[in-house]
Amino acid sequence: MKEQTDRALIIVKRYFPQVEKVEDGEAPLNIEVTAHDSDSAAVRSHASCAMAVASKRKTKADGVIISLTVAYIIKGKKAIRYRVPNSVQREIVSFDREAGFAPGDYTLKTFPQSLRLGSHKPKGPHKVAGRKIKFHYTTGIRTDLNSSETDAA
Amino acid sequence: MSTKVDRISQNHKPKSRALAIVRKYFPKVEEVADGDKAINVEVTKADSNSAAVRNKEGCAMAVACKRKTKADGVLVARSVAYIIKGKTATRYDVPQSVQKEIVSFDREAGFAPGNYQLVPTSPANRFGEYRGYSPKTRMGKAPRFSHHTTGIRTALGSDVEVE
Repeated sequence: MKEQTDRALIIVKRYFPQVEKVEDGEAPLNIEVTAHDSDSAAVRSHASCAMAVASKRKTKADGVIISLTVAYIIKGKKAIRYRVPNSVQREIVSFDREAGFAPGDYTLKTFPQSLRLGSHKPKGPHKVAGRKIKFHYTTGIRTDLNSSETDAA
Repeated sequence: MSTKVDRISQNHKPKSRALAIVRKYFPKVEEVADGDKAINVEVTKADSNSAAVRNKEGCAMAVACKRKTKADGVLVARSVAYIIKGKTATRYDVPQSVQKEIVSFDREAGFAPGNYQLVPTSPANRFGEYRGYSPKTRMGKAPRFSHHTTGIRTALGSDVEVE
């Protein structure tokens, strides 16, 4: 769906206005986060957290956006989208609460076929037996990329 | 080279192994069963403050679960939890939202107060459902990459687990 791609592009353009196209990554990206990355990085910042610093170094990108569930690697006018796995999400929560990002090897994953940009997505709230699913929102961490608040890129 | 038993994941452990793990902490337990319904647990600021980091029995989630379920004891590992009542331990899965808080809590950055859930183990991973790996699975492929979160409580079943 074009709408989905447009929305991703709007989000990325808030941080990197020169970007004109968003695509899904085709292969997982292995990233080594060092103790130095963790020390030199900024908490609750999508563009300069430990994972962003390490990803930028590894991919030689112009910029990186790391949210809790989605990452964008910016190269020129193109942003490549990856899925942030649970192992990285846990470290992000720890890092944003100033408890550090454990050095080690991590992976940014590709999206499954059903969640890739342009794939069909059913509309309306998900319901189970007529009841709304309860969600828990993790607090004390970076803002949601969809929210109106943005941190400095 | 790892043996078949080594490759069995936490949720696929046979019942006897789960029982052995629980008995390290609660020796009087004689039976382990899977929970059938999700448990809603409210973690308060007091729970977070009164609890002990990297402690499966005394962490914020364990304190809150014990209060909510009026259990004799609670074990909260990173991906699985056991509620002990008398001689029975009931097993639940720890969802990702709680796992994130556990990592934060164990690194002394707090457990955010709020409403959480312990959920029943998925049907495929319940006790008695393990059917073994297909011989075709990942034959000849490189081992799958996995990252192990550090700086948190030890894994249930590891050699250094009992604090």
